[in-house]
Amino acid sequence: MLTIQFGQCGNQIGHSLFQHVSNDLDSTDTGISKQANSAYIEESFENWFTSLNKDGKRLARAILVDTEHKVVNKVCSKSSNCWTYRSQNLICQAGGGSANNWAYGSLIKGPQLKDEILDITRREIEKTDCFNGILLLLSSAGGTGSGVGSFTAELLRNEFPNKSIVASIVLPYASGEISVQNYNTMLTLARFTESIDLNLLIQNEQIHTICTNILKNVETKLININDVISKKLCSLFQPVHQSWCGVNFLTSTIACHPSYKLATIKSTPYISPSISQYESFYSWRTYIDHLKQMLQISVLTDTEAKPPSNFLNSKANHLYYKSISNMLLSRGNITENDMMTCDDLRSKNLYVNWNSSSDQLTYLNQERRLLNQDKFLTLVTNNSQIHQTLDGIVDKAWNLYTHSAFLHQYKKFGLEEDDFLEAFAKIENVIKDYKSL
Amino acid sequence: MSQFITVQVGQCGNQIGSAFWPLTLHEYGVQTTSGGVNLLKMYKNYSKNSKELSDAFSSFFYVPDSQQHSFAFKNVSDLEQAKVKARAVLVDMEDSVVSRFSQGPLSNLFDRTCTITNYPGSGNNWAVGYYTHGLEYYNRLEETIRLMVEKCDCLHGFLLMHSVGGGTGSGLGTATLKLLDDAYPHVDRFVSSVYPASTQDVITAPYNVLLATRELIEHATCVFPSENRALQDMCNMYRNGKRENADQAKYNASCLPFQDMNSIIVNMLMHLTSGSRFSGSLNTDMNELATNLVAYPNLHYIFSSISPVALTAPYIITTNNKKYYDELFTNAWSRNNQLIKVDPLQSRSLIIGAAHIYRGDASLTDIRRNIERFQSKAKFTAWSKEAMKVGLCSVPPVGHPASLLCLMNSTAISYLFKDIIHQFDKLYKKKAHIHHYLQVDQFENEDFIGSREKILSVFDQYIRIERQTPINISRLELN
Repeated sequence: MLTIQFGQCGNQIGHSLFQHVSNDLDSTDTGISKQANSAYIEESFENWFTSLNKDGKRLARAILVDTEHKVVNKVCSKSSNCWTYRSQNLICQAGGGSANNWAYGSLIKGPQLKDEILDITRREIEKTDCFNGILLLLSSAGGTGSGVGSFTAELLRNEFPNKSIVASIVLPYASGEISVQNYNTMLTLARFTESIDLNLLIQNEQIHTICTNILKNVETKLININDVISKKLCSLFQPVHQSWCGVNFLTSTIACHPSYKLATIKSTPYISPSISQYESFYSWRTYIDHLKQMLQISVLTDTEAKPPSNFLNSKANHLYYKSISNMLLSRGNITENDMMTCDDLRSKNLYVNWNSSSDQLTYLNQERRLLNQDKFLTLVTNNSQIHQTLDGIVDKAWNLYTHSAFLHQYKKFGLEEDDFLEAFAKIENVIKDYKSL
Repeated sequence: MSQFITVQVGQCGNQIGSAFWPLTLHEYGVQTTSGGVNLLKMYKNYSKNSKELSDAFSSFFYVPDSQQHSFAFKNVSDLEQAKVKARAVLVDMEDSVVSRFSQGPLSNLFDRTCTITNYPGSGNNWAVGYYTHGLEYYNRLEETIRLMVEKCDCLHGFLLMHSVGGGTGSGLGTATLKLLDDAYPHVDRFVSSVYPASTQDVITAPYNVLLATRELIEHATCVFPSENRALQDMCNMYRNGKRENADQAKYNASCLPFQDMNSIIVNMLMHLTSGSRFSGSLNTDMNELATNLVAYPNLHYIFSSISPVALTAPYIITTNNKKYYDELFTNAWSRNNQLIKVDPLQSRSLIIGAAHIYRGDASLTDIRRNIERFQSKAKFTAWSKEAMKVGLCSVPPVGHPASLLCLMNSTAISYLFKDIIHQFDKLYKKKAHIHHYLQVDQFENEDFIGSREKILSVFDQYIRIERQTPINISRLELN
């Protein structure tokens, strides 16, 4: 798998992700035999890294794209003893970034970086024996991630029509971190739902609550948020027992219908590192129940941001968001006393009726512990809940648009009203589709 | 690393510059005075951030053989040895302030070819500065700036410093701004404009202010106005108020006239550029500011305030204090900390956009809490409540564990424009001193009328935003 990181957020998350993967490879408390572990390591290495450099550090199979030096420099200089980026894979242009402006990023900066992006991507793909797909990391709020990212998404789609491309897109705080974040997000999503096979949406606000509520980290910093995000991604893409699973498989199972290409990642349990020694683990069943609660409609607080509990309330007659398809990954040892049953996640009321029942839930497992953690569960879910998030974004973007606020900033770089309307229409369509599930 | 060229025009502009360069060097850890009191030495963070600081050195300075030097300069003679030059263009039509530069300890920092001086000055007449000197020096200015631009490998923006009350800064300053707009339309132009106190020492100031303001509206990317009155009050507050910081008071007293006032502006400018110079977990480049703050064309007069105002902290505060963060934000929103004497958060006015740029170590929880406080404190238009920009820069300023720059685009700025028109009308009604302007080649009465109209139209735009009823067009319906 080839990872391409865009902009400040993408590069920070990418760095954190590779750090997690590398830590996972070096983790000692695996819970499996030495032989099985080396097979796991080999497979994971093949997925994320190309080779070792002369100092014995793992070389990441990644491309870094930014329009500004500072972040990339910082990311590259945060040295780790175990892995590093390939210096030829830095695509970075001087000149002060993309100004938080999608139009500047996608219409001006993107084309300037086009040749370099294509060259390096081709070279990286040629290097791999068995190419699995491309993972794009970016945020939708700023200019580079969203703009250059959108440009590249289309570029790669045309260049590699048969390769699977998955994007992980970080959505901004709803209360605002950039004035034009809703324009940028809307324009980005319009482009990505068109060109990319599967988009994993991550909400900063939600992750922040996980940090403060479960990890008890009151002074949450950006690095803590990135940690949680990369752990989710790590657990999704690390090898599983079913070795045929990869980006191709992920896209074909989760995004099986062309109108529904958005998914979210739910995971449990999060354990604060400071108390991990004392924390006892619940049974698999409790965690499955916890995951199922996350799919309920109208829970006041986000269940993912609450710790799991033993009170099983799945008997109650709850309403659930309709899913098209879900994928469950469990990491850790399953014993006879602590069986894994995912029947709860198979119940009829979770799914739309048009997808055949065998395609509704895919279950994958891995005996090996992820990052020394006894149990970790990840659920990738393509369900109707996402329309609420999108609704909020379009509401705000539409409000700006009808007051023609900030439009001149986009027109300056050649993005006209019609382009906005087209993007609005696309997203409204996506919302309508998800709503009707 | 992003690079900036500062253009300092006129007496005031060069005075700000004379505070700017020592403080900038100081931030990079260069000792500028030998012996005596160097009270700004309390630089606890220097060693921690020294790599980052020296990496960013080229933002404001040009180092000839950049391969050979580590940029870790310690004192002025190090700079002289490496032939370091400030990325600055000095323009004045009176020699006094600029020549003080060339005699001072930093004289070798400025390229002689980048100073443009003349005698006599512009006689406090915008028209003389703009037309007479503007035309006469057009080629030299263009050439000087071009040479400076060629020395940059990634030019990010121009910082123009001037005052609008006099002749040279006001007239020639805005002529230079127009030149920059024509020659480098894609490079941002940030302007720090000093507006005169209403007890004017220059009788024709209302004319100059009006004429310059029009040019600023038409050609700047963002204007950060400051008023002498506001700066004075801030200084007095620190001098008379809490005597908590004797060192600071002594330092202020030892400064040249205006020096401590100017240092407030300088602090603001250094903070403003910090995101472009240093890294941070939520990095803010200068070119993002316009995208985030300027919702409609021409409405780019930005309120700025910094907290804390003083250059050094009386004692080092442990930053893990929730109250400390909240106070930092509250002070930045206070009208006392604004660089102009208008309260951006007064009851009738609406916020069009706001940016909070934080230097130092902060947790997102603290930042989010304060952003929400701001959103409940201020009033917004129907669409601007989420128009919030947040920036985090990891390198704190000299002498403080943390600081905050708050930038607001508020409809309250209409009071500034109203006052400009009012002062102008008072003088123009009597046709006082008009002949001084009309006798200047190319200046016509139309300049007065057109400028007044332009400013009035911007004023109207702000008032329209205040009175606008929310537009409710339902979202796109799909068939």
